[in-house]
Amino acid sequence: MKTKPILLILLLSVFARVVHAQEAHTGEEIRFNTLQPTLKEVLNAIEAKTDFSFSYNPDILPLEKKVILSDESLKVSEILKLISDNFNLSYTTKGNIIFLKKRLDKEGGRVFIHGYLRDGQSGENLIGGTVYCPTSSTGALSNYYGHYTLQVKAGEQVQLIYSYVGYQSQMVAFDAIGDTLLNISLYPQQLDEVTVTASKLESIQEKVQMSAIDVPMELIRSMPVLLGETDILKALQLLPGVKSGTEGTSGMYVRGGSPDQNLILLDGVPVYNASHLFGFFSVFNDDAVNHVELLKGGFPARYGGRLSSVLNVNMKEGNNQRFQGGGAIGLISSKLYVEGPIAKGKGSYMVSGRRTYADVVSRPFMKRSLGEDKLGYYFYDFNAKANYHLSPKDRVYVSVYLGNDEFYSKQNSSVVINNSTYNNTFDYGFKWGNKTAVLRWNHLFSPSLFANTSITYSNYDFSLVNKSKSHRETSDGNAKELYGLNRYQSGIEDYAAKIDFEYNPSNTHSIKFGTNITQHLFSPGATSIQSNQEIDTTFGESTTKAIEAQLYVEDEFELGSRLKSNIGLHSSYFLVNGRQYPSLQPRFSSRYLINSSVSLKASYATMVQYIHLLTNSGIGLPTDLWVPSTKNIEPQQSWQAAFGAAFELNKDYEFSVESYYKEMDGVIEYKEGANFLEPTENWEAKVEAGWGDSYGVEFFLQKKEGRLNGWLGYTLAYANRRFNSINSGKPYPFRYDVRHDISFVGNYKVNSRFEVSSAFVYKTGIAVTLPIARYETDGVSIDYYGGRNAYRMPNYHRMDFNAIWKKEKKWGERAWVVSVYNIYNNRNPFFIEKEYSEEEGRSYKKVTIFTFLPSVSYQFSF
Amino acid sequence: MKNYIILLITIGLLSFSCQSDIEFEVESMPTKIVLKGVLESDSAFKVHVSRSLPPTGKTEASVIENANIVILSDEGGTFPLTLVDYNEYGNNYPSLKYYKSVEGFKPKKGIQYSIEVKAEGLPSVTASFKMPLMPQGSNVKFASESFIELESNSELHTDPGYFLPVRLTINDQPGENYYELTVYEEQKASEYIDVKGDTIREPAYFTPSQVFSYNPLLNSYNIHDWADADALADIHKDGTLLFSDSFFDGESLEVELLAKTSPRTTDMDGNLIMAISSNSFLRYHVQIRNVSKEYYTYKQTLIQYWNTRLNDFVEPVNIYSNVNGGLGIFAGETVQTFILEPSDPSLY
Repeated sequence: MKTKPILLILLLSVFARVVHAQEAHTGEEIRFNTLQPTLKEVLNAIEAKTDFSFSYNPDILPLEKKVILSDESLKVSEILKLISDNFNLSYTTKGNIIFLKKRLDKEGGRVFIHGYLRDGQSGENLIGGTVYCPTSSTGALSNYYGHYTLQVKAGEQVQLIYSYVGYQSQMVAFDAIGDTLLNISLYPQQLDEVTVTASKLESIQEKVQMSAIDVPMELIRSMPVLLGETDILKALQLLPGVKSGTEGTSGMYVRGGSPDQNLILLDGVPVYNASHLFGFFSVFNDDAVNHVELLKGGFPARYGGRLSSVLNVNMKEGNNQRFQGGGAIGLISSKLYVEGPIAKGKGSYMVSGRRTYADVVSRPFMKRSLGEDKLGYYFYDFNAKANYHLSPKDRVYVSVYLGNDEFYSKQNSSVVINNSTYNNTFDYGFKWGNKTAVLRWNHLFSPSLFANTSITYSNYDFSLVNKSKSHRETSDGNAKELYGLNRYQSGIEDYAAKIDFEYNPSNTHSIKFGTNITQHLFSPGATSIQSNQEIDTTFGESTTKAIEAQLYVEDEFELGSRLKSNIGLHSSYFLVNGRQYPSLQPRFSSRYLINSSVSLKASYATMVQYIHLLTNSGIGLPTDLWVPSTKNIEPQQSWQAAFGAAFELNKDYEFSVESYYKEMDGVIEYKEGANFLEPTENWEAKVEAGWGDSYGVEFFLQKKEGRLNGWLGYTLAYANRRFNSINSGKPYPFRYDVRHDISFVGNYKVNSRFEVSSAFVYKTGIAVTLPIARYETDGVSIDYYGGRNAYRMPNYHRMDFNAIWKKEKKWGERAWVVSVYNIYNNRNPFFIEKEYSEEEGRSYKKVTIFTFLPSVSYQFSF
Repeated sequence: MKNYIILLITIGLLSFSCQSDIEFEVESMPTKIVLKGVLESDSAFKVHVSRSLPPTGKTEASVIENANIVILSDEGGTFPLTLVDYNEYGNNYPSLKYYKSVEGFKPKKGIQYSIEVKAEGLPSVTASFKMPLMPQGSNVKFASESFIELESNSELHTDPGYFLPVRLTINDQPGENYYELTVYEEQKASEYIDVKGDTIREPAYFTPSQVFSYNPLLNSYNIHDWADADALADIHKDGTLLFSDSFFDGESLEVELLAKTSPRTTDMDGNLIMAISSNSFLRYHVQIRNVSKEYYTYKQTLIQYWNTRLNDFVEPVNIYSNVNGGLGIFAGETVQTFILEPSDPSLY
């Protein structure tokens, strides 16, 4: 059922009567039989005993309430003053008619209309939806929790139009007589429905935020996939300014930054390793995700701690209307989710899980070839979230994410010693994963002041265990048991508390401020060894504790009808091993409307990052280590300026062009010759801090709605690095310095049961270091590389295709999804490897891993 | 751990069953002159000149035999070099060809030298460096009367290594200096009568010793990795400590080093005097080299290169070159040599 506005439209009932030609006057006295008549009796008495008649809305007057009279005989004017004071009414007379109205809360001022914007079917918050008042041409956007606040003139009848991409708009009209809580539910738009875009607020040219991309989850779910796995990060890689790492992996390189410079937030909690299986899949299960937003620049002051991007991933809250669920069975994994109300309309929950089953499926075959030995790999994700409305002003959330990758091998053998059989075992394996949790409380102090308080936990750990038990014959012929245990562990663990406020003093003015504090526990890696041959030993780095605190304020305001700005200041502080790093980071972004369809935008942001990732910057190994800034390795810093223009070509198409320049200092890189597979030992000596810059221009044409939707993007970009001891101190191209990058994503809904989509990407080959000559010195053959990353891999291009067949079933809906990765079988390079033969000497080969790769999955929902 | 990760990556990739390899044409740099010349204060000007090769295909002989080479000093000296064909090991081995100045010309300390190499069909190259000052070493002695016996970290080397403890003092001169410490084990010339009654005369020969130190500022290999370091020493015919004076500029530095000796039997273990004095043919040469910055940088990168050349998980190392228009190195060093006779009690 569609929700109606909770406030009924106030209609004044007019009963014009002309009883007497002679006008009445308020000096007439009325006599009552009682000193405590009801209001209705008072009004009836005046009408009966004078020529006055009343006009009022019976629904809003407390007609049955008693009026305390000071005397049994009072003048009409005295009675009117008494009831207006007692019942907060106002009155006006026009001829013999007295109009009675509920007195306005803010007479002559403005009142707040606020509430939550939700999906009518599931109750999910709609983030970034709009509420627009056409008569005053003002509006507001819903925040990350679906909350909006809009001010309108008190006493007037207003029309508000609520809209959200892909949903039917809804109009509500009422008299604005006071602050009003108005929760609105919108319903998904059906195919072929005409979309009424009521507001341009969400249009690209209106937004002051630039370098931000909001990709609808529906579009992400319909995009072509690798091996049947919908992947949010791979979808974002197709956006301008975002480069993918190695073929098929989920790493993001945003505007020349490295993956550690992305602040990846799952429900506001940092996720430190967002990939499974060495980056081939991301940790985000689309079943559990409600909203995705990527910021590449122009960072508002509320964000800090990373240099290059902010990726906000919000988990679903769960359907608060009815129980439902769904899942998918794919080539490499299956997944299932359920959601439903905790108390209908008051709260909801969502639980989702995904697991790969290559190890389970292959177990029978493994048993045949390996016997009792075991070998396998799997990963899983688990998401859960619940929320509850404690009151109209209070809402609590709890959400949890657990994800793990595990590789294991167990080998068994036996040995006969002195006519007895002994079992020898050799087990090794390693696992890594993230855990995040958040407890959040949303509170509405007033319609204009919204607060979000959170306690969060985040953990990433990697461990490797190598355990053996064997038996050896001693000199006296007996068996001696030998055991060994080698354990390596590393990780990062965060405990954080934060509070954020959003204050909206007017429709054109919004202030956000807040603070947070995080305790980081870094475990850069420790190896412990136990055996009966050696003394138990632990060596490597011990745990390092660090405190990071942030304080911010940002002010978004309009100056006139064309200029809108967001000015902010982000202050942060980092304490590690007695070393303090304070910083002040100014932020600015602004847009100027040329006309209703075109705007110019500019932004400037400085960022500081106190943590570093020791990584090979290529394949995303779980051994990648997060380490803090130290007295030798200082924090990373950057500034970025961007300029651009945004166009609304018509109601369906948006186009933007942005140029940017970013400079980074303190970025780290492994020194030449440093082995990044053994990074834990004295890591500071293996890395060097240096400088980097990136600049480019991005073009983006997007169509978000309609049967055909998708985007076309092009990026021209440059990214460089410079380190004193690398490449002889000369600047060199960043590995992912991709000069040209073209991407196209198209999705077409043929009918309600069938849709197809396609994606195409073409980009310049990444920069790698390969020898360009050889020479002999002292009888040794030496490769000459010319320079770091001086060589270009072949250009990369591929096209993917996806088709979805849906069918309604008695129990719900099923869908077959057929996807083809690299449909024209282009052999893109994964890496270049060196070979040698006696006949040919040395040669190089291009290794391709993903050629024409079809996949199919079965999806269902109920 | 590296092996497990490689194994896991391999399993991951193979599981997709869609890998394919294709020949890949690597672009080649145009051929350039490669120069290798490290001038020593007590020997003639000597350089090797060859041409660079493409990165693919077979390795070919690349010595340039028709080069026109001249070395110039900032004192105005001009030293033409001529090709020398030198065969140390006899006719069964390929000869070494290099360019050498006429006898009598030797580099002088503190002088700037530059070189010009021209060869037909190739772009000419130039390079220059300043000959360092003579090192000022003193108090070079045995640091103990015993060999130091150490196990190796390598699982393949179960036998211990025997190390000669030496101490010395470097009296650094103000300014930027770079040092290399080397030790050679000398088997002195000998003479004996074989079973046929013939007198056999064995010439003296030198064996380079890999040198280690516990001082972290001297860029020593981890001494417990001595077995791995041996491989590097074999290739470069020396094993050295290479360091700058940045931490003791203009001051004296006491150095204790451990030079790995040739393998010894356990009966040689123990008292150094007793062990070595019984072998009157053995003694040690300790060399303090003051090397030019170009040599220091070149050697550092060369060691890194060699150490990591087979590891795919290491960013490749480009070996330093100061040759304009070409590749290689033109540098110099001054050498101070101290002989440690085990039978000399004053050296303990």
